[in-house]
Amino acid sequence: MGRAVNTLLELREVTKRFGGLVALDGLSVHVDSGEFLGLIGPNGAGKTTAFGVLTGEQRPDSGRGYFHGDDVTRMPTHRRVARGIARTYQIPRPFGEMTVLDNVRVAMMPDSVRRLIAERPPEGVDRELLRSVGFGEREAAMYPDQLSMGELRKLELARTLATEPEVLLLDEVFAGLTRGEIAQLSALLVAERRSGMTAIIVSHDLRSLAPLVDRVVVMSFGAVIAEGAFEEVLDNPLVREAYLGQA
Amino acid sequence: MPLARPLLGWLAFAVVMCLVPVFVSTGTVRILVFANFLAIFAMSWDVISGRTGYISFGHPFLIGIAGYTTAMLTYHLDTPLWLSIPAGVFATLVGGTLFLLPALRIRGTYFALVTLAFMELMYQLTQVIAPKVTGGTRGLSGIPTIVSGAIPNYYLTFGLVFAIGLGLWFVLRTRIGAALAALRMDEGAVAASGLSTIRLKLFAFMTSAAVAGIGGAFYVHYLGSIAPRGLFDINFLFTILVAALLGGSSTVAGPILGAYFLTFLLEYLRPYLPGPERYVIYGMIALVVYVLEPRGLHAILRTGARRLAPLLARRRIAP
Amino acid sequence: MTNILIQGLALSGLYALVAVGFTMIFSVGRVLNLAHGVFLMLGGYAYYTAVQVFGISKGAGIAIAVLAGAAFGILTYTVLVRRLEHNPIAVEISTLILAVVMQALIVVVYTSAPKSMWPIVPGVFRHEGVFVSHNILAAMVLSWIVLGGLVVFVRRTRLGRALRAVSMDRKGAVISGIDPHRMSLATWAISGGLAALAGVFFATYTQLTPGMWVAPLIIAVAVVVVGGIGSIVGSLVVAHLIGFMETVTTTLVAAELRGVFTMVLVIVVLVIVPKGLFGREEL
Repeated sequence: MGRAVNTLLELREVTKRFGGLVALDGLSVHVDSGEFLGLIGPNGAGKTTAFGVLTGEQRPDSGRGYFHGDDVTRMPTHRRVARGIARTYQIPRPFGEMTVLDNVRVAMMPDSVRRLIAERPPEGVDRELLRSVGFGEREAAMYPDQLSMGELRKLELARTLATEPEVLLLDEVFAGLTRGEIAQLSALLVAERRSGMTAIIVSHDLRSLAPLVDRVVVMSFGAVIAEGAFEEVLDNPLVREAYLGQA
Repeated sequence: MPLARPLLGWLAFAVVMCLVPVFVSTGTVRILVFANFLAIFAMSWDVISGRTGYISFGHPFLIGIAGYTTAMLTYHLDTPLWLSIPAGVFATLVGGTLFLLPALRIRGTYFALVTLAFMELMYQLTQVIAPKVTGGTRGLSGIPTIVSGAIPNYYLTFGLVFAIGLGLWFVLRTRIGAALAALRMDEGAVAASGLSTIRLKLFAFMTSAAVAGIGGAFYVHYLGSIAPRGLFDINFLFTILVAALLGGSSTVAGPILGAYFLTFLLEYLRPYLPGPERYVIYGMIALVVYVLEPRGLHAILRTGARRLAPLLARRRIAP
Repeated sequence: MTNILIQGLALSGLYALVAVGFTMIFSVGRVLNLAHGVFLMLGGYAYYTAVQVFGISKGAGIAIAVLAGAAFGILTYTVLVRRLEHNPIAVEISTLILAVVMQALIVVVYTSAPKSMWPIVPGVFRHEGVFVSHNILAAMVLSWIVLGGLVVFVRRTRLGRALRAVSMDRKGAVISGIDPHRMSLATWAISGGLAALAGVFFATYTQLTPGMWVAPLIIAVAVVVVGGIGSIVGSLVVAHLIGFMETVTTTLVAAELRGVFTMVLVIVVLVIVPKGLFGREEL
């Protein structure tokens, strides 16, 4: 392909403590533009906390975050989202009293009170987004509590796409899904990958993750213990120990 | 979105309310003036609490700031009303930012308690700090009124209700209304949608404060007096809160409906229960309606209308 | 100086007693009972009716007040709170409405005229220019006994340990076979009884009026908020902080200012350390 490799999003030496618990212990991780990175590791390794620091929902005790080479360590979440970092949640967080369509519309909103009042919402883009994740008119009018887990994850994806992101942070995208739903969601992600999107995907479902990612990073106890291509990483004895050690 | 039907509703509301003084006694008109003020306060409460979910237990604090500002300006300095009322509203906006401060870090129960503390603090401060200026425990009386007589006051206050209600309705039916509702449901997810939660809260709090300020300032110039007791008071707070909740929070029509309903409930109970029992029944009704249908009368009427008109049944109507 | 010390201690003891039931309900059920002040008021009126209207002995009057408070606690929980438990804000709003209804009911039964209560323990303690009523000293001693008993109850008895378990980890407690609703019911009963007991002394300290519930509610809120919502020890410490601050302000600064500092304390603590000075602890 000959694409110029440049780092899009990066954490450098990030430490984050919750009371006595060290969630991130000098974590350094990066994703290149156009790359799909798999982030794996046993429960409690700090993957979700890493996402929190990347989006600004959690403030690190030390270390820095960079986006396009700019220091974003202290940038608030909504501004990072506006600049192109979007995430999904392990447990989907839709706006419960809104329809699927309205959920996506909130994600499309401009961050300006004046524009929210004065401008009409763009026509058609909302439904187009829903169609891109496989939702028709019927689903658009449904409420989140009527959706299956697979549909909720698709809604989360549609909401992140609505913010026009450059990089997607997807937390446990395959958790709680049926084989069929995994296949559907994978197809959507493959399409995003082809269109040049960047992503970091956290998943415990290694078999589903493997075909989607260019590279994996393995975390344990808040730090990187291995990284590289999928096959070689899984052969790494450290990784085996981290995974088997918890069983 | 079709505008015609709701606008027709607003028009009908205005026509009916303008005709009311022709058909009812002056006593009833006087009661309606209070209902109008209650409607303004309840609408204001709803912008903060109904929409964004930041429950304010201190709304009398905001109302009182405007009231005291304009009362002190006119009483001591003979400031003309066209200057003192805007000054009161401005002071309330400043007070509203005091509410925003805790809202940056806490919500739910804790936020409600801070606002309650603000109200209590104000109650004590107005009595203690510079009683010569505030009138202390007895307050200030002999404050100039804007118009006199029940009917002029009725039209003045209904004009306020109508203008504020329509204004809020026009603003909150845009995407800002949905954004505030989203804030109530999940603040983190709003930030993750790329929206500044602080800016949204600031907007809601300032709008609410402005409405509370307008209501408070005109209220004082209607009563002609102001005193800490009865104003910075849990019972006053209760009336505002119940009007909004009973009518239907997170709507514009709800708080107005609730205010009229509450006021008239109290009045129509009078012939049957002349004594203080009235307040027990009135409170019980409020409690029962709230426990059975927390979305209020507005939702009850909507459900009723939906049952009557099967055509509407399939649509879920967004407030 | 001795005066401040003794009066401060006495007032603080009373405040701790006022706040403790409020703390328990939050700790176990994660809801605030804004009708807490009404529980106190009911205790006061029940005692008044028993002792000053029907001439029953003081001891029996206190027992009646405590039972009335406990019964009202149970009633409030089963009729109102249980339906709304999943929504703390709804509980707060509905208990606030309940408080206003009860206030109106008191006016109906007892009129709005204030009633004076005879001191439960008459007489005044005098020593080298120190004046403290025996009544408030009794309240202080009683609050120590009650709070001490409560700590023992929570730590040593089966029911107490179950309550503690629910307050620490509701789900975990359910898994180990504790019924959280029964625990909540017990808490509301205990809280109601303690509040009524506090109410008897609070009413003799001030007056019986239908609006008297606001002041103790504010005190309970202040103690619990500043102490860290749900912590008994934190509440105890802060009851003393507030009690002494009020006493010092009253004697050395100006009597009218005593409530101001309490409110400022509440606001500052909630804004700067929302978890309270002592953080959140189990019972």
